[in-house]
Amino acid sequence: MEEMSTPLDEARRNTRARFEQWASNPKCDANTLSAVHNVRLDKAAASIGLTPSFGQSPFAIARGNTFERGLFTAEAERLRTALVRSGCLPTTESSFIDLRLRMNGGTKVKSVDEALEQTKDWLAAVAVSSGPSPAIVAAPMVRIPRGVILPEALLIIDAVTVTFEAERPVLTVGEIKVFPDRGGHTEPAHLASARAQAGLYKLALEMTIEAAGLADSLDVSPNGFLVFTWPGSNQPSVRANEDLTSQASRALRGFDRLEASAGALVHPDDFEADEPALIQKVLDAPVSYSEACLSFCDLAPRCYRRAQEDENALILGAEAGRMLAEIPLRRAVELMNGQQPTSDREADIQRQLDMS
Amino acid sequence: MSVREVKRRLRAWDLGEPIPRFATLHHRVAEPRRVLVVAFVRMAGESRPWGIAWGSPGVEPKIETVPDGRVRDAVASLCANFGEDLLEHMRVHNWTYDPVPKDAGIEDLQQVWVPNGQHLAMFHQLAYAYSQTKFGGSDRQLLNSLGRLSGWLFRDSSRRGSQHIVDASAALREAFSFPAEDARQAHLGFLLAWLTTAGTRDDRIRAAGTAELSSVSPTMNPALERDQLALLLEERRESLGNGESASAQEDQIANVLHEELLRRWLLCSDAYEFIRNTDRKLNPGVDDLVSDSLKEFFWQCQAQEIKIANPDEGKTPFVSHPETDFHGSSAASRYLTFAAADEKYLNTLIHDDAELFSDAVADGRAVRGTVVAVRDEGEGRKTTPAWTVRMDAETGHRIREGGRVVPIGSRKHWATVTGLTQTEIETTVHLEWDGNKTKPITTGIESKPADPAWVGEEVSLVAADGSDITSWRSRRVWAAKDGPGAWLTHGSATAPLIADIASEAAEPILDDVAQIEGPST
Repeated sequence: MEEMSTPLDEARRNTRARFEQWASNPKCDANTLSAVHNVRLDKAAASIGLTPSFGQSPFAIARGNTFERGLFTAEAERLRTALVRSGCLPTTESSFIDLRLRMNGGTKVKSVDEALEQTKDWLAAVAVSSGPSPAIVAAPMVRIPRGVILPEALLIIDAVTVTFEAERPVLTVGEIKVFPDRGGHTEPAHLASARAQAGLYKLALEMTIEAAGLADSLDVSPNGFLVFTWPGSNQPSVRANEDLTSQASRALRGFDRLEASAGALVHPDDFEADEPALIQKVLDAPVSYSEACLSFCDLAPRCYRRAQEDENALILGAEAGRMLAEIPLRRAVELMNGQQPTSDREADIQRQLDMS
Repeated sequence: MSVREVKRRLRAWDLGEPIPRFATLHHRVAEPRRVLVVAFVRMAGESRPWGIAWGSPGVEPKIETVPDGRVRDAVASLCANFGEDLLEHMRVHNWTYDPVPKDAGIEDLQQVWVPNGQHLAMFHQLAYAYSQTKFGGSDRQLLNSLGRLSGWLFRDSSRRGSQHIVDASAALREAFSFPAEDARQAHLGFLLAWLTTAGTRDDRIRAAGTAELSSVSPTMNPALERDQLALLLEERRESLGNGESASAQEDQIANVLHEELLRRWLLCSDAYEFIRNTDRKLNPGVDDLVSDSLKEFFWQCQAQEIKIANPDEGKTPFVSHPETDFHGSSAASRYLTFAAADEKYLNTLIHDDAELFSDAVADGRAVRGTVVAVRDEGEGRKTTPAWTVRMDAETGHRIREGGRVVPIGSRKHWATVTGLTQTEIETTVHLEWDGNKTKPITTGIESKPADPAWVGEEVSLVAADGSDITSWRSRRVWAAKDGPGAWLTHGSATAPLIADIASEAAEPILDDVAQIEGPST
């Protein structure tokens, strides 16, 4: 395989995006199906006459590429300086291992298989080394040894540092985002998504090391680092020592759910993005509408309309949804206006509404 | 979201239209000539603006754009033009013949209105870009001032009760309860459609749904950038590369951006007019908030500009770094100032707003009860009126022994909670009057606290705020430079001495003592 250009490769390339999409609303079966089977939500939306509104601006993509390329230029000079300054690397004397695919700005690695192989070799080499030379590794690629995303779950980790503690190698994952880091005012959603991804990397790296039988020789740090931009520039702003423990365990729970969904697959090879039968499966799947859907799902208008028709309290916000749950809005209004409750649940709702 | 807000949204859904959230407005709406409505657009992935629209409501706005939002020099010129008008509008020293004075009155309030929080954040981006820039040529001073003012506007926007910068969609959400999800309510067009569309609930839902399809945030719809702007920029690049004129493409880019900016600006202007023309009265407590805002503006912005403009006077200005303080005393002082503003807000407004009072009761900061006993516990000629107040045991409250309460509607009276007992049936609170205890309470039966006629009366009490003490503590931070442990709290900054703004040289951060005492000679 020379370059990733076939539908299979496209599916592989989008693995991380699919996992992110799934994590945005893991309760929704349609979303889970879409992520596992690589059914694009915009295609599903278009098939029922909705206008897809998500997607990325070419400017944003270009900016992201420029930023990442700049970090790894000249043996990752810019990233190295920032990592040393933030305490992620002990010295600027660290080596640079570039495992990026050529199509992603790398210089040597030509294909996915080659990237996987070289990542494996690199892990094996680190496992037997005792330092002291730390390193920055760009874009190691790992295959999650579970059937969570079909046809297979490949992840390209943005960056990994290798340091040594008592002569034992420690790998620390890093997530690179073009988001501006505005100190305490950095968008919480940006931080959350970056941390979630770094947690996913950590878990994937641990699983890969375990599967390769290297767990006795290598440690993965519970902490990671996030690389954002200084506002208005291509200089990195590094957030060190991000505790990824809970994000990694959240990713593990996600893997379990995804695996269950993947196991229920009809045809193990029909994962193309716009395969009509699969699109229909996504459209027919039960949904769990929430406010979060508004930020990523092109099917959200359809689900909102359904929630509206059902008088689902979620259309008044997540809190209203939590409080009223299965009680339709009209009934809630009746209870608020003093109508006799017919169940303990209704009586409880009425009491809460009366008290406030 | 509180249960009361759920209830309001249910009511709004039932009526099919937004309903007033409070009985009064909690934000002053300045007259149009004192308001500058500002809207931004930026290229996706960029922090600086691609175009800006600004102007007073009811007047044609100025709309300026650059062909390529990634070209810093062009963007700096755009921002300099905007900065000149913004600084003059805000009456910042050195940029106007009529700067806001130290003893400014309510009529001196100058406001900036923006469509939503994303536009507000653009001021933070401007602070990052320009507050300490060494570039900009002849515009450098102007850009620095713009950066500093932008930084102050952004920081002050998070101070409770701030009055200078108004996020229009937040102002509408504060004034009305909408029967919709929180995420949708960030869209100004969505909110205005709910408020201004006639007809049924379904008509309004349809109108709001249509309105939210058009982007209001500074970042434009990706499809617009992909299908129009990216192509135009590519053609422009080719033309320039071939040594040809690119004015045709630049005009087209300007037209697209103009339309986007104008839509955002008009929405914000409409929101301003809507709130201005609403028939709800302004809460009388807002005047206090305006006075505080004017003081904040003077000491945190204007006074620094005066020092910068008069270096011969030897006073060191303190220019806040856009990211953080890098300065322990400043951080402590500002924290306490913001905490004081937060404490003061409720107590300033609650006396004239029954809905706000009910919200406070629901979350335990205020209570309703019945006076069951009135005594005078003073000795000799001293009068110390004391009350026993009973409340329903189910009333949740945050009143604590030793705390103070104020009767609603009589903000100058206060009493100390001397005892609190709770049974399964009732909660009994013992109060001892301290503040204004010999003067009649200006609410209820309007009698002195010692009058036994209060027995049997229902009273409403709110926990007193300690904002005066918190404000005092914020000033004491600076005075502590000679106190014990000053070597620790007022020593050199522990954070990097250089504020590292990427690719640009930055001002050294002075240590605390130098800040307080001025530069050593």
